[in-house]
Amino acid sequence: MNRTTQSAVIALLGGLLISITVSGRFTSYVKPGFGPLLLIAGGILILVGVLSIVSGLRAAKKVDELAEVEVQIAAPVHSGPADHDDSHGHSHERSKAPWLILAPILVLLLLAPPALGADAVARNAGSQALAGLGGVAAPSGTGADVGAGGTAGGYAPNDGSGHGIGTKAFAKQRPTMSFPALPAGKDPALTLKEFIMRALYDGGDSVSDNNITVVGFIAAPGDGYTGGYSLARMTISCCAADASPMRVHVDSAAKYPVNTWVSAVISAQTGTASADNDYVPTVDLVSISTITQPSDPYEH
Amino acid sequence: MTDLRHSHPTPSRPPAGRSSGKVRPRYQPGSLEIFGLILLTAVLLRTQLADLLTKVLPSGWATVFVAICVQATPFLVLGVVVSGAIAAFVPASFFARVMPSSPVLAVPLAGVCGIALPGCECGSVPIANRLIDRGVRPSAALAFLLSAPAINPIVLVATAVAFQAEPSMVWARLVAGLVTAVLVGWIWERIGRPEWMKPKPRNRVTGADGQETGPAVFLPTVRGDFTQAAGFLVIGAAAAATLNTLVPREFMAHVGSSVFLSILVMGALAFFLALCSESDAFVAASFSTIPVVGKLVFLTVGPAVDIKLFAMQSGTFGRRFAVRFAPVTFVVAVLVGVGTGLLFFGGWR
Repeated sequence: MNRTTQSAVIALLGGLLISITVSGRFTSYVKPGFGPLLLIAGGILILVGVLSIVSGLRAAKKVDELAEVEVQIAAPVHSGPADHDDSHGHSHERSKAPWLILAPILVLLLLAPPALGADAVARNAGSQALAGLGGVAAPSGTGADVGAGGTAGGYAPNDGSGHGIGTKAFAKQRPTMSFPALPAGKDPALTLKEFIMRALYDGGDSVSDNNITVVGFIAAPGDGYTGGYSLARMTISCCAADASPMRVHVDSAAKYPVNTWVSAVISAQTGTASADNDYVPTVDLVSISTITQPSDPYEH
Repeated sequence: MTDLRHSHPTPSRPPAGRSSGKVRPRYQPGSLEIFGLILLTAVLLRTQLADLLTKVLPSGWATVFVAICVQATPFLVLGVVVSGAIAAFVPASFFARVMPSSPVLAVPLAGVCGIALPGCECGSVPIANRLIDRGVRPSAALAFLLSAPAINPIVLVATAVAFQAEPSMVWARLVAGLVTAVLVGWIWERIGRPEWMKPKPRNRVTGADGQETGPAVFLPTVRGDFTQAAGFLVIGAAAAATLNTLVPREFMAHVGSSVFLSILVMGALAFFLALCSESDAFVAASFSTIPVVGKLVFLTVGPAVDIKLFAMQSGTFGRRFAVRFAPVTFVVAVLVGVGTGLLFFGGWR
């Protein structure tokens, strides 16, 4: 790939980064905090691409004669001529690697890949007991002592074997934590992650005693459940490569097909989450309605 | 447009090229035409190609692939801009003056300098390459390459957030990352050979001198470094996306029973998942059945060597370098991770 084409590819990539950021599509791939970084990076790439083309055209005039001679001498196959116009020793023109940059560009242009959905939920499903616990309140009550050896959030019991969840010590004590009061109003909204953390660990049973509004999409029921369906949402901490699902179980036939985005009012059934069902709590469904996909399809 | 005539043919060039070349000897279809042809094909056959790709690719593959590329690009841009700035404005004599001549000192110094680069691993590859170009001894530049993604402040803060109940994980990670970088640097000082590295451009470009500095060098360096590194980043992203979408995470839950096995699996997983070093702590924290030492191994191996870095290193430094450097780094990182973990956590836990 010669320098003009390299410059064009760079500028195209930069433009595409800016375009997915401005249009908001970037939240399907990375967390929203990446927005400014993508704009800056896209701007730099466009600048580098355009300036390279301009300086290349200028330099081209100088070496025109030289290049003509060279092309006539050069063998036709696989002999990238040394780049006289790029006289600074940074030639990558023999390399075919730059062509690969077209792969993500074409995938973005052709497929416009959607945010991860129900398939990813099934694939990345695992125990919810430990996943994604940044920012929850400090342990208290019966959970405080067993929480000391935990890994995240401070509630995971640890008996020294490395097998906290599922051990007898864990089964005896339900580790609980204190959560802040629910937001005011009727059917307050929580993220699905927050809802699940409260369903699993809230000693005050805040999401069992109250109806909560959550946003997610329909997915297949998880391990340990036969009928019904899941309300799910992916959480990411950086980009879609590290996504993991947050799920609650609804024990009735789904009104909508898989991957439909819904806003639902639910309350948790206490004691339904266990090691056998990956700590996916069952919820009572009060109401459910379809919505368009949120501008940020993931939770964080 | 001198470049058009000036460019060389590639395998994908249309057959018309050679015959028309005979008629008009000055014309050969260059990369710009091929580039245009690819874009034109994509636009014209958009729906057919999209259908085909949707059928062929595993569900979610395209999203994860694009996500890794998009996520890495800002850090790669930072890396190539720093690399370009070094090439343009920092003379080789600067490093000769600043870096200790003895590798015993130079390697740890370069490793500690890694703390100053806020980014993840993709950005440090072109910088390390530029440092070697500028006369820094390879072992020191490689120590920087390994330490920068593991111990910079952003990564440490992310680790602290992910491991709130295990604050010592931050320090364990810092120590393990730094020790790995320094040890690999010293080992490379003993066993590394210059001929494993790709020959530098100044050896093959007629009349050009790689040591040249000045603002004029900045732009070509940024452009060249970026296209080269990004191309290999794409290979790594494709491999990581494939593993990410084909291997169920649940597979992890079954390896926790054996400490030895879980450590090996965590090392292998860190290599193949190729997570950005800023997010790997969150993933590690979610492995509920893995002992804490295994998680530290995951966090030590990940930033130092993964499939994405391997692809970028073989592109930047040469394949002969990468096939030697990656296994050395992997073994050292696993051992250091285990050792540091036992020291910090007083057991496997």
